[in-house]
Amino acid sequence: MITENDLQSRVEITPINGSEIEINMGPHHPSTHGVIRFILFLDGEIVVRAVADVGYLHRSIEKIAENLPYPMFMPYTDRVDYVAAINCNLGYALAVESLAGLEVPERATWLRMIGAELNRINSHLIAVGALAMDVGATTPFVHAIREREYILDLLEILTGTRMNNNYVRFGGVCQDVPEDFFKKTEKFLDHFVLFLGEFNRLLTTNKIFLERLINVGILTGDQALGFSFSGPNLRASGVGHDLRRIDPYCFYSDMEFSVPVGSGVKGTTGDSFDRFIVRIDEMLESVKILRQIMSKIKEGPIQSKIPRKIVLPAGESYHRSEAPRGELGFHIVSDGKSNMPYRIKIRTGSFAAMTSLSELFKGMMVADVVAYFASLDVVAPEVDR
Amino acid sequence: MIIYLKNIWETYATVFEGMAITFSYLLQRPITVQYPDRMKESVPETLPEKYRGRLMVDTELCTACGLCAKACPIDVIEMKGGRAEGKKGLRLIYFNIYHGKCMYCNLCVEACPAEDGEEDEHHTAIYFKKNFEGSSYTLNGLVEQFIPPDEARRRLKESEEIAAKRAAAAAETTKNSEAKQESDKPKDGGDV
Amino acid sequence: MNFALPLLEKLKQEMTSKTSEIIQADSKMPILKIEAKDIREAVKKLHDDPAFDMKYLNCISGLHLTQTKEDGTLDLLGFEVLYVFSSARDFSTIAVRVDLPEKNPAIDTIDDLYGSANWFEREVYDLLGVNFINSSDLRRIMLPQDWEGHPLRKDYKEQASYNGMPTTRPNEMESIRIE
Repeated sequence: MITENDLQSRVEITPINGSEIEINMGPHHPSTHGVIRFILFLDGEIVVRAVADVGYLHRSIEKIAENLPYPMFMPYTDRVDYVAAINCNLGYALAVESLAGLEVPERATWLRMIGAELNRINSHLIAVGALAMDVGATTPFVHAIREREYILDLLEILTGTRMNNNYVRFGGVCQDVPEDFFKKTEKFLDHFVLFLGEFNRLLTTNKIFLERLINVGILTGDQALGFSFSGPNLRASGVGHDLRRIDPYCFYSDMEFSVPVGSGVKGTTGDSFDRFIVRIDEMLESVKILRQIMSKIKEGPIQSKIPRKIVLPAGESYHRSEAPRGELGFHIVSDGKSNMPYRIKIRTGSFAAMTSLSELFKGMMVADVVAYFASLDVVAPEVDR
Repeated sequence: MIIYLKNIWETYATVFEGMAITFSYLLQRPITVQYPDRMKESVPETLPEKYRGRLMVDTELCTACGLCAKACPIDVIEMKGGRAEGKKGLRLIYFNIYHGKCMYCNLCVEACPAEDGEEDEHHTAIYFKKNFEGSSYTLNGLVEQFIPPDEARRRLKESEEIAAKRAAAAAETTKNSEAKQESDKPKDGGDV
Repeated sequence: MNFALPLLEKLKQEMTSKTSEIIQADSKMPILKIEAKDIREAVKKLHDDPAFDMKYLNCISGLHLTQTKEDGTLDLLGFEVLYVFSSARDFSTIAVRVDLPEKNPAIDTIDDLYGSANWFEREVYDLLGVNFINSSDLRRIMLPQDWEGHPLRKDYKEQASYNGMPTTRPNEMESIRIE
């Protein structure tokens, strides 16, 4: 039986010289979600050192941005993180709006928040489902995808598309929703809370699943901060960092929700299970936020008057918002003359999460590598942009 | 020893709980549907009103202003307008959409000023049809020409003739009015 | 946006060289502009000094500074590297900016202080060609190792082919043009 001490000691096994095996995990590996490659140097089943290789999905979005007017760059922000497109739209729109001083009508802000929170649930469902699948449980993934399908149906009504929604516009959103959308969302939320209970019974309490995650890939709060973790990954390490709280945008300051923080419920704070359970808890918080939005939203205009040609004042700014994978920062530089940005740098949560891999993989078993990596919820296009 | 047995018991108990949930789905109606032949109604009918399917253009309604082509970030739309006999304003000469590149972002639809006044799914000249099926065996097959090539060639010729005629007429008037100034630069006849 | 101007002023005063200045002080994001040789000192202070406690590196961004001349050509003015740090305590954020010359832009690395700095630096190096001195692992990150040029430079010209593969694709619209 493996005790706590064994878990600690197995990290310290030193390799026998000359017996390292170099294996390539990825770029096309079922557990790397997209195309990310790890070069693992193994001693038996233990990783001695690891190199993460990214860039297979580099689409030069930042270069494209320099050649497009501000509104026309909006569809590209969808592709930064296609699992949570509206959050990326929102981050970009907020950054430009705050610089250009554009007003957003109240209803539009509520609708943006609905889109963002639905997308957050959507994204976390993929995260927990894919984590389950990577450690060997296929059924929960199918359950998660089924729930996601209901969300996609809702997003279809809200935005007109299922993915890559391009919903947010400067000074508003692209379209209003019919009244029955709210009834459908209400119905979905009721159903979703029940589903999460079932999902927990199916997966979260499962002993085999727990054993794969508990005490795997432990990151203390300081370590997580050092690796620039953000979002659920940072919160799982016990740091209550949520930009919706710290740096509120939209109407998040009026919302009542708690920020789930990892506390090592089963093992140590900051292990893979904490990253999993924080996401589950966050979905419930999103449900709470959605219910509050639904009770507060009123009829009204959805688009304010914006200038035909948006020219930002000269200077630079860094605007951040809370996407499902953590801090989404837009560093926008304008020369003050052109209607195109001089430079846009997009800082994503997945990129920051990737920085920890080479360090953390050392001393892990190959199976734990998969579990740890899946628990970080890295989406390859967000790393490469 | 007790922990060992407890672990075994927990493993079996939780696995069987999961199995029970999975089994319960055997007794329920399947959630998946078989597309497309076993659907009760066709999929486009079940889609919401503003669904973004295939990008289409109403060639009658279109005023060939070119705003959609300008709004498109990736040059999916290639179009040109020209004068026609007995018609005020511009008429489409050709209008091509490359569906292979389109990313369904809705920016062209929002830019379109030609509205028919109705509040249905295609109240603008360029609009998204609910139909989303449009696969093709070749890349080339994804380019849709809304004006057939022969007709487009005819229209192009016609508009060029009109433009030439107008340019000639304009040149004439310039010559007549300002006889001293020899400017052979014709006034902009159409925007061909 | 809680960008903290007081912290920036404090940092400015505590620096040994007095050449630093605060720019954009009245905007949403005040930035401390320092010289390249002072970056280690400033970041060490931010990281270790309990008064700052900036244990969190939000982002390292970079850009190519240019100016368009009247005849349309570009005047290359060098590079800018922007560091954004957050406090581990209250998450107040500050930005530090360094300007580098056009020829051989180089700056000291900070990857021994922040675990994530290496990847951010590699990205700046890859896309802009800014060298990070004493970096533990400075390789290209997004592009292949044998790629030519740095794409985010404003005077960048894409190579026509890479290892025999063309970098552009024929436009399907060409085939049906009637003109």
